Amino acid sequence: MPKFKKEKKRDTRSNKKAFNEEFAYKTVIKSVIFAGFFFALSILFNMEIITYFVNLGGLWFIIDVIIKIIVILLFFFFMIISIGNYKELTGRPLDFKLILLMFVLSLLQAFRDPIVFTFTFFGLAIIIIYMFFVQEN
Amino acid sequence: MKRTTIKLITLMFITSLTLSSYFLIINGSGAALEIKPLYGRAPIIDGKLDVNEWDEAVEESLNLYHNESKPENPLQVDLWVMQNSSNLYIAIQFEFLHNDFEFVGLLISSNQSENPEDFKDAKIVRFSNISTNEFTYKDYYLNNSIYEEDTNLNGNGAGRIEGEDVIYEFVLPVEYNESDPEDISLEYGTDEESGHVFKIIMGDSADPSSYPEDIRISNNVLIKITYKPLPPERTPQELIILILSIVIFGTSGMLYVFYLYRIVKLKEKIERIRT
Repeated sequence: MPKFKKEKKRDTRSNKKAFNEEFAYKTVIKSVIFAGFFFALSILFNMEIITYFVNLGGLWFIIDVIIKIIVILLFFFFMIISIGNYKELTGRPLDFKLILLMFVLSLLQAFRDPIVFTFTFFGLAIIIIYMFFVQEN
Repeated sequence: MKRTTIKLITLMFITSLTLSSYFLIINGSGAALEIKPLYGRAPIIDGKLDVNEWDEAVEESLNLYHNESKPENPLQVDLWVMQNSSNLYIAIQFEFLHNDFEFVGLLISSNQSENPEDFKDAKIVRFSNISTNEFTYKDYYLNNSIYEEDTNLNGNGAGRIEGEDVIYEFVLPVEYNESDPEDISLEYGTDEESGHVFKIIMGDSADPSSYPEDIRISNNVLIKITYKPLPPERTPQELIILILSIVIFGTSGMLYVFYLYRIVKLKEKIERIRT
């Protein structure tokens, strides 16, 4: 009897592990899709393919800058979530090198506009600090 | 008289002479205006100046006179001229006490000449019932000042009255058909001798065959149709920025695709471990 019970417990544990893996994998997929969407938006705005708001001038210029910053930050945010979960599935930690690579790739998207570049830099730094503290807790 | 007073009077005389001669040139006979139309989106020729429709056009004011050689009692009209690769667009607006069979037309010279015999083509919009905004657009060939209706209607025109305001719109094809003897083919050109003089005429006539007797007022405009300007060349700095953008976004894109590939591989790995 105890032997049988033990096997049942192991089954439950393995089912739970499979469920967690499934959940983590789904998160990887969802996050990477979101990141891809914001990356596409970033191409349109930061490569200045869409210049509609800039051409309107005045207050629309600020809106254009905000859109550019937000799409880069969201791209970085979702990519980090996706890569973090991916790494968890492979059993390795998300190392500093990958975070730095994502930081550089995200920041470089803003290289055309110094204002966007500056605010994106601080935005990315805030996201990294936030994630560091969340991880610590 | 003191010398300084004589000098002052002479100076005033020269100044007034210069100013009056300037106004004589502006308001005198001949092409009062020279217009190089800008490229824009084709407007709808319906006699309405819709919002943004003529925004890309060159806007000018022109005085029409009973006698161009004796410019008195002018009627000021607003003029919009625009072009695209295939057509020239002209809109004319003015305020007036309108007559029942009012018409506005464009007489087109074969070149920059303002001699009456060089105006060979006429496009006229004439109201047949002004109260209901009914009009007709006619294309004429001028044979020794006799208006002969064209076999083939070339271009289009429209007119519309709203209160005291009246708007006339015309569209004329550019480089239409050089072999058509009834029409003047409007030519592109950028040099000093290129361009066509357009005589803007206005009048009223119950009988359309009574042109040109019923032309009341007119004036000339020189319109130089130009080729579409080429987009400005990129500076080396702009080129570097463009290349850098492509490299940065291209690299990021490739890494993104590589990451997607790794995700797919991971799924296969997980399934293999489970089985």
